[in-house]
Amino acid sequence: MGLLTYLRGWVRLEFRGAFPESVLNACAARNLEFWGVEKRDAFTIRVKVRRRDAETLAAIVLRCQCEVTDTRPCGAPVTLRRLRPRYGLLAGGLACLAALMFSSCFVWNVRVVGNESVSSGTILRALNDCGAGIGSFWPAFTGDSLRNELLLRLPELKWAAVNYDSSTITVIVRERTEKPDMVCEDVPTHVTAAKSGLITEMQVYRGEAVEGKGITVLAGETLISGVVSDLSGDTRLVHAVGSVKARTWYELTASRSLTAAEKTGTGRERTRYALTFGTKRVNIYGNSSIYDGNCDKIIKEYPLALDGVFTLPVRLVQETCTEYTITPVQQSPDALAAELETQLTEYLTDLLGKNGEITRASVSFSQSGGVLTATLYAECLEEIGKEVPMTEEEIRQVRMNNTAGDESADD
Amino acid sequence: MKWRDLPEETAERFELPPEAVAGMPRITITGRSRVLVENHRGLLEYGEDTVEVAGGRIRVRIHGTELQLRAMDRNDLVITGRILSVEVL
Repeated sequence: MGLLTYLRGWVRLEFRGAFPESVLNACAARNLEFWGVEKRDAFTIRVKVRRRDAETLAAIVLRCQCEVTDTRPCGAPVTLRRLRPRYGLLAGGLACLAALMFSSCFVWNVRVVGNESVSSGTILRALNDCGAGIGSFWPAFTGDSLRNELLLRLPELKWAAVNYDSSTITVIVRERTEKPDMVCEDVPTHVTAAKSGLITEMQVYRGEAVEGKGITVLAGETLISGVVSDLSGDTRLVHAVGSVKARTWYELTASRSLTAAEKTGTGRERTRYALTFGTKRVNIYGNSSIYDGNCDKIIKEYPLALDGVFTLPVRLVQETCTEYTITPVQQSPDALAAELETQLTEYLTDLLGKNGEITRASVSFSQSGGVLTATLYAECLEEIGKEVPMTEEEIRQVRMNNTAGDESADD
Repeated sequence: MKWRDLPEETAERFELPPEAVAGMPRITITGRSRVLVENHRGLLEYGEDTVEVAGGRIRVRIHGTELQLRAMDRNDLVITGRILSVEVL
């Protein structure tokens, strides 16, 4: 049955006779539209026809020596006729519709999308300072004005959009990326060792190499000097640049107690409900929310909304508290040792970053007083060169040496 | 040849479509679920398991389950349901 048929309505007619098929033949001969033919028994057939054809069909039934046993109008016109005297229901429906339309002019839900380091709370507070929050009258704002104000209040954001749809504000933000440190090529620098190690590879792009491959250096020692001598014997200051790779050694230690605290549920659970109307909360329970002992509290909010259609200012809040006790548990030394080893290796990998790698590693364990201690010995290959600006004293000394050299040459 | 077979014989001799010349019913079966009968002369029996259609000098009996008269006008009718067999009597 199509929607149009339902809207137009139809009449279900049942007739009975010695040869009821003759009625169908007569209908077909007159091009009278019928459908839903149902044989009730050997002498009874039920068909559906349009409302306007019902009388014609009744006449055909009589002419075919049959009798009409049942006539029932169906469809939207019948339903509407049935509802017509219920004015209260109609008024209630209209009032609900009007309330829904009025309610859709207010903001009942705010969502923040796209933020990473700036918290949603910060953005919501900034939005609140702009005047748009829960319960705000949305036609008083425009998305553009809110976006501009938001960007002025939060310099950490580089782009923002404020969209409003069915009482829900969606704030989409993109955060500003930090500017990288600029390298000033005019500042004279040395390349020094950031860590102690044995140099395995050295490439000098600018400056003069002080150390070389196979030399062991200590942290802070100059590897590539920014003071360069030219053929005339003069010295000049440059921004030394180079890459120095070295073998380095690490010894990292971590300890962990063999006794750990573990949560054990007692099986006691309490669920309480509250209703939030706009910003006001109404608890549907008597006592306070303070609990004795330890418990996990899970709060779920169910807004009364049909996503994308409407949002009502009512939310059902469900609070579930699950009680637990903390019990000391003896951990397996093997499992703990494996965990410590993994943690130490991960920590060292983070420490080396992209410019280094672990070439050899070993871990030793010791246990005393219920504490397991792991020590990681690792040999790594990493970049140790670090650009360090020359001190004022160094610069002045080089310039004085140059001046003294020039004077002696003149003499 | 009998006199009443003349239109059919003529159609055959002149290689003309018998449904056009002799008014014979044309039956089209689509898969297992639909039968179209053109040039019918009315329903003789209608039920969920059997539908019999008059076609002039012949009768077409359709056997099946959940048979339903989907559409019918003065020339054509469509029967749907699970068709088991179509007999020409």
